[in-house]
Amino acid sequence: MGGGLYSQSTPGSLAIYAAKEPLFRGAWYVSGGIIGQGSKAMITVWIDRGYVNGLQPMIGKILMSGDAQSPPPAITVPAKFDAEGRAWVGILINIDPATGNLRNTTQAKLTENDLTISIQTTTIIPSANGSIFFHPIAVIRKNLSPIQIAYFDYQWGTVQQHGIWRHFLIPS
Amino acid sequence: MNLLRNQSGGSEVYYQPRQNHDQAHPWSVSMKYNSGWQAVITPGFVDGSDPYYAPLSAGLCAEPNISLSETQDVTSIPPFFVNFGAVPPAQDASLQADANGNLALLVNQQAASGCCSGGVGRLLKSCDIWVVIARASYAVAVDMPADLVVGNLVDYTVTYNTQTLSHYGSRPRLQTGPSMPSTSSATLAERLAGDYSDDGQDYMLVATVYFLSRTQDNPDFSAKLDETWLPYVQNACFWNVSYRAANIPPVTLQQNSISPFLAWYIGQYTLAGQDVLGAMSAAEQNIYNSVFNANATMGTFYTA
Repeated sequence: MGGGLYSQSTPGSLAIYAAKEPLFRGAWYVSGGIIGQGSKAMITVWIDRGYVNGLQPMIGKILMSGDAQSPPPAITVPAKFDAEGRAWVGILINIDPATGNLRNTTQAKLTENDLTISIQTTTIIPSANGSIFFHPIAVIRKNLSPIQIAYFDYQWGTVQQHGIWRHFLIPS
Repeated sequence: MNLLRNQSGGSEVYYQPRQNHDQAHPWSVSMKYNSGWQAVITPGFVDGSDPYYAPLSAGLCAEPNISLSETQDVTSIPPFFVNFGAVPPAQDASLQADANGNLALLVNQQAASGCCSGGVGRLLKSCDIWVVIARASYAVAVDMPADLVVGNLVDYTVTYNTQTLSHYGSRPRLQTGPSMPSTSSATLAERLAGDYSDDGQDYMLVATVYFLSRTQDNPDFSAKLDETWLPYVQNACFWNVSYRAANIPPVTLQQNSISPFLAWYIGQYTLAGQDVLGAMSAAEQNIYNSVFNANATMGTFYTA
């Protein structure tokens, strides 16, 4: 495990892992655990809420801090990691390539393509292709504690340069 | 303490972001001595990617022990270290020729510093830790048509040079050395000869590590950098960053232009009016200004 952590995991006993409470957690603070055993073990993380342009990203179809009917959703990290044992959880911004605007989210029923600002996981950081922009907020490491990357809420903006949308996230 | 409890009888293992440096910020440098001074850096990220440290084939997430063996003598002592009695390295008084060929007496700087004469001052060395990232730069192809002499002109074709990017990839890399290099620009002549505009890399200083020796009259003094020296870390970067290269696609400039010499030459042997030649020179200058004099692909690091 990473530094500052301890573990005890004899079968059936209580296992407690505690990291020193940070003085400044900031936004997007990631904590998590391995749920299940053996081949069924899954890494699940919870993320403190953060904002992009004052908007909370979606996890699935629920706001990341939950709503009146649902608690804050957990995220299951893909079982695979890259060659260095890394996976990322981050903010995915999805725009309409024709206008550069965030995709419409006002319709009553959202579909996957309507997840304008969402939290996603990946084992490879996708390169910005114009309409998709991924900003990592933490590295999830195989059998190690995650490392926080993002600490701030963001203002997002984009400019079109030679027909390609370029994205910028500025801490705010 | 922020305790997380097991919720399903021993099958759950919880963990949280590491905090073993008491709120160490990204890029925070810790020093240790193990047969040589080594740095351990709290992982920092450029666009979410941890820099790769080639000597150990590891990313910063693996927290490699980074050897700081290459240092330089600090000759201009920062005020902070003056208070500790640091002095520039001693130099023998001797006659040396300067750049103009004039002989000058090079005095012993240590003795001349006043506060610490007699060889009791401390020596100071430093090294830099930086992140370097590759990007595309520009290449210029110069084409001179065969009918140049009769008045047809020179074509400039500007393209991307991805030599550095292809070699290193887009992942940031961590490097150390006596002093962080800066992006090297090519001269105008080099660009006109078809060399790329710069070395295709941008640099960001992570930290400067100073090493302060014991006083030179101390029995344990060592002129060689070893465990008797005290390391001081001056961090230069405190947050994770994003990086954007300017990334302006090259413009294929198939405009015609001529050099001033050719303008003069053509002026001697053609009937072209001076106004025409003047316009040609202006067009040429525009090309210089818009392409050759701008490192337009140079990138920027900013807090993220």
